[in-house]
Amino acid sequence: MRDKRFVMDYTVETSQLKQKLLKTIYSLQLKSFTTLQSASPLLHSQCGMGMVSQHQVHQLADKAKSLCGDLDNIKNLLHYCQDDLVRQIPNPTGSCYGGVSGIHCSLDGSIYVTAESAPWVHVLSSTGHTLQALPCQQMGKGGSIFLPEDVTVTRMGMVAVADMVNEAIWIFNPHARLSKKEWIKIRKVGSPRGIGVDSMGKILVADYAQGQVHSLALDHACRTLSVQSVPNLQGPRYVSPVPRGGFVVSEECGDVKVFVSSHKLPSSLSSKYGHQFGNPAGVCVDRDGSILVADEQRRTVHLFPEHGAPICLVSTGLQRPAGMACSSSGHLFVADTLENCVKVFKYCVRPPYRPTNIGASLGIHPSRVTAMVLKVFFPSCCSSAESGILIGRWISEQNSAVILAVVHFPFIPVQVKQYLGEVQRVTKVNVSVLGSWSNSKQEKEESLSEFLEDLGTIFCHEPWIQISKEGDSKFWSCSTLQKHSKNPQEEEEEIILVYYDQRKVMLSHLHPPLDTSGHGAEDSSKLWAIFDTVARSQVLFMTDRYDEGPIKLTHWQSDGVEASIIVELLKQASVPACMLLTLLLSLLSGLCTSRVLNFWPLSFLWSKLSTCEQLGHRLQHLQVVSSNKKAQNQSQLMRKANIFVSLLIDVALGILLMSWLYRKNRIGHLADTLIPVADHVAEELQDLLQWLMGAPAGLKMNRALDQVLGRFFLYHIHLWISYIHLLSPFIEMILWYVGLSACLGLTVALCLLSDIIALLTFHIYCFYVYGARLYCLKIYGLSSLWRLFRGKKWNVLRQRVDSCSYDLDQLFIGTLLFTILLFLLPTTALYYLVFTLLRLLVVIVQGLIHLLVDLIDSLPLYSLILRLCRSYRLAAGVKFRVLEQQDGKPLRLLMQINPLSYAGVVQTYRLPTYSCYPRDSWASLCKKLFLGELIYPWKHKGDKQN
Amino acid sequence: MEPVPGRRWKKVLYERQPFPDNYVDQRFLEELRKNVHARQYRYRAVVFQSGAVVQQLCSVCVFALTWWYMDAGMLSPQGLFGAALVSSLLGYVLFDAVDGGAGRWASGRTRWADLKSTLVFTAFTYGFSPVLKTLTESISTDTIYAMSALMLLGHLIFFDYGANAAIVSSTLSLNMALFASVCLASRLPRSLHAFVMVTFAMQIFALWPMLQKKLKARTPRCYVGVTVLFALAALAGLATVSSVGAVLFASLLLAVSCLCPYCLIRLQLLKDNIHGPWDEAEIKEDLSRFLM
Repeated sequence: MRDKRFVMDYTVETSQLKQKLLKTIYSLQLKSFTTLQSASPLLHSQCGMGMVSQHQVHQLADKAKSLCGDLDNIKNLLHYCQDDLVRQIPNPTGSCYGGVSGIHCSLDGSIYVTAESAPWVHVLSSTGHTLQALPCQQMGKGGSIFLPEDVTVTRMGMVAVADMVNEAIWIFNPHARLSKKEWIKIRKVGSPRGIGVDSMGKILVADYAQGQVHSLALDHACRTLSVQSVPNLQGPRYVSPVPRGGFVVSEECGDVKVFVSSHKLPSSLSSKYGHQFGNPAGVCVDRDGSILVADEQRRTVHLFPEHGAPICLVSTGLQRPAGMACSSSGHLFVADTLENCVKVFKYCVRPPYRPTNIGASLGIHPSRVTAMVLKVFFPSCCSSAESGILIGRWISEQNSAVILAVVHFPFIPVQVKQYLGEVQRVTKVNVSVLGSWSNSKQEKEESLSEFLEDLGTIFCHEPWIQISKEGDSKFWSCSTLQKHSKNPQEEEEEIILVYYDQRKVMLSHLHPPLDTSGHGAEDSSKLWAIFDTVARSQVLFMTDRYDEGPIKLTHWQSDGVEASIIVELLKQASVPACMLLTLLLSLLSGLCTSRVLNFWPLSFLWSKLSTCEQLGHRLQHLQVVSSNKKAQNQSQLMRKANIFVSLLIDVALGILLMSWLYRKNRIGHLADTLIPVADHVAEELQDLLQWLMGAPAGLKMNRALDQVLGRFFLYHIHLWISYIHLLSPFIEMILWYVGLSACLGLTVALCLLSDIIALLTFHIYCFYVYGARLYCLKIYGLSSLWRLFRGKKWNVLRQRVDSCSYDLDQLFIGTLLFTILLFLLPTTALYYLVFTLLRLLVVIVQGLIHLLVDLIDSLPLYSLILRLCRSYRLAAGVKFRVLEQQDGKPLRLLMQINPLSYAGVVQTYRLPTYSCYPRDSWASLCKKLFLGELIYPWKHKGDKQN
Repeated sequence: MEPVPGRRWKKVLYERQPFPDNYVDQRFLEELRKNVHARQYRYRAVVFQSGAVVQQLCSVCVFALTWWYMDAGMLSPQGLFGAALVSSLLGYVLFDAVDGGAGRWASGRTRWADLKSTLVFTAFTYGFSPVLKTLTESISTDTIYAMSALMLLGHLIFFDYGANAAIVSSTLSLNMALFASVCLASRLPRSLHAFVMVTFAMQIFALWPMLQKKLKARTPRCYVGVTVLFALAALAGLATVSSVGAVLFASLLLAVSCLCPYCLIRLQLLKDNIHGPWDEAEIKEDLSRFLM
């Protein structure tokens, strides 16, 4: 199906042909330019025509006209392709209704489809998946349905459909609140068929029976403000807006008519292009202004470019085309009624690159733009450059020009344009020639200024900026030229010159990163556009000043990269190293996730050991660092760098620790002290229990229960001591091996320490759990029995306390138990209190260790170092310093970068941690402690999901 | 302004009337009514109703006496258990005999359920009696006495004497009595004592009022006789312990049964409750700021 011309074709004939075509066009351009350069001063002067005769001029004009037509045709034929079917999207309503008829492609690329006699509007993605189905049903009044004929989307994102049966236009706001989601009938129209929205936001409706096209202006509440009608059409069917105002309408078995914005002066396509239509159906206009028409009878789609002959885009493969839409990405969506599907064709060879004025395409009138202040961002390194032309980017929304470099004389304009095209292709920045720059040490030369103005006619740019610096004067003169406006001197445009340090702006990153969804960040997005422009044109700055190229440029120059050989070697070496690391890591993670290690008791154990968590965390970090994928944006790159530096520092600290530990037999000393410490703790606990078994602090405890509990806990301590003594011969060896883990990083060693503490204080944890469970049981029993005591009960259904009449035996047993529990409570509570305090002590120690680990894990060290040494790299904004100000001269400002604050750096680049401590508030913690619920240093399973 | 003869005064504020501001005529208070809901009591009826209070006072007195005897070792637990058992059986028979089984038939409670309840009481009390024995070992006896006294007082306050008031809660009253009995029982020398004490408390505080209520409703004469007998028995018992206490208790009983009804009837005459077609004034403002 693919057109042969656009498949990669490297045969000799093709390349020769290509070369020939390019050469022809170049020679034409060069010839005409050199002629212009030599002829324009002569023609501007007062002398006559020389030897040129009238006949020659006319002949040249005719030839040029035909040549222009030929060039246009060649351009079009190169640009478009034929019969390139990309995909077929079946009718989303299925085959039980009629075939697809209406289609619309919105700016975000989603497709809106209606089918004949189906009460639905389907919203599809560009690949044909149904995103949304809007039932065409009126809410409320009996829910009557209607059948949409054609569909369009307004600028506010509302879906408008034409309903021929009810003779009405319906509108639906999918962004409204749920309660307001309904179709609103906005107007009765005789027999609406095609519908569209023009560049002014008006809804265009083709009225088939009356032969009119109405354009309805709506306000925010969907009320009709005004109606304009264009009469005298022969059965209008489909209507489509033209981006620059006006619309195109197809007549049944007739012609396609084009109306300009005044809604008068129709021009017919068949007479303009000499094309004979069969039965024109769907029409649409693409961004270039080319009109596309589907012919129902001839089963073709033709494209009518602004300049050049019509081109047949689809010659075969269509059965009965109806509605048609084209997207900005160069795709054509044709609704085929007979085959009941939407056929997607690619008609542009590549999506059209549009260096046009965005303000114009948005419908903003150019005269309104000129009223704004013109800002020229000028690189401070170019202020001493020789005269030349300014290249940079024109940001029309902000009415500002970002100058990137100065091209010196002499140059050949073709080469400059070629060079700029290349730069555009590489950087994807819309770089163009913005104006001229003259730096004359001497007095002003008349010829130079004239020549500079002439340059403006060669490099079409609007406005044409002329900056000149005279001698050592501080004040520069700056002016703009509006060639197309009729009275350029009507209003004096205010110009602000803003100097910026090209290197710093290029390297810096504006914070916070632009989020495309936010509407409030308009100011930051303006600044962001400037920063982005400079950063993306980095390639432009890479050309060395000493390179012998066709063009001489002045811009920021790096002073060469130091130690580049070592850096290059490292770069080369890092790729295989990363690959090896990735392989090892995938092996390791595969081993970790294998089923052998994940059955129940082990997986539970892993989740409780903080060392395992930390190792897993570091494993993820390593995977991130060693992944071959290029970081997509700045924040990801910073994240990688931060992780890498954090890893490095962690490991360095760990090795430092290890070197300290393994010197002078410190491990042995540690082991020798550890066992007595554990023994000592156990003994202290024993003493504590003995004290509790007496009458601690003069408290009245129940002696029997006290004795039972005390003996129970004493037995545990006895067990613990014997366990420690069993372990004591091996402890040094264990410590020696455990100390090796410090080479994996300080955090791992710290986590291990925390785990060891947890293991060594396991008896305290056990006591705490026993005490808490007992206490919890008592508290719950007492609270419910207290309600029974008062003759109340807890109503579970209503979540409140109700009165209740109990039986006599219930009352008796309840009160008996209540009395017993009440008198036993102080004993249990004391045990609980003491063990909870011990437990909290251990938890606090562990928490401090984890805090340290988290600090090392999450601190964005690389960003902090960057902020410390290269503060301009992380920009929070800019400040402007006024350099000179004088009436009649442009204001000169120096743009300086405001660095991000340290708190901001930490906040922005903080690495996420696997925080394993509970996020309870203090109040809830106290409540839990009071009620005897267990508190854990780690998160609960349920919390993790939140 | 002088009153105009042709025009009558109206008790409204929203009209301008030809009278001084402080003027009212004879009809001003003609809608006033006094003591609409006041009840006329008869002395005998009030004395009869006060029997419930006397009974409950005597019950508490008997319970305390029993505990005293047990604690002093003058009453063996077996003897008390036997006596209590016999009186309980008697009361059980009487309970059904008084109304000829009508009450039982109405409540639908079977004898099997009664037996089960009895077994549950006995088994639990017996099982827990060693625990009860050691429960309050470390707590001082005075604390126990104070707690029991408070609980028994609470029992008397919250007891359902037949009045329709918010404070009445027979459940709470019974629970407080049981709590007091458990506290006191824990002071007795052996666990059998404790068991018998708690059982006795159950009988005297839970079962005995039920029988009384039935007697009062069915045979008022008999009820008066039982009350007098019970009061005399309590007094006699108290006299063996402390004659001063007996005198004081007797005077208390007399005051409750004779003096208090007399006072009530005398005071009823002074009742001056006014009603009329007006809304009572309510002072909602916080007056505490005037106190400062």
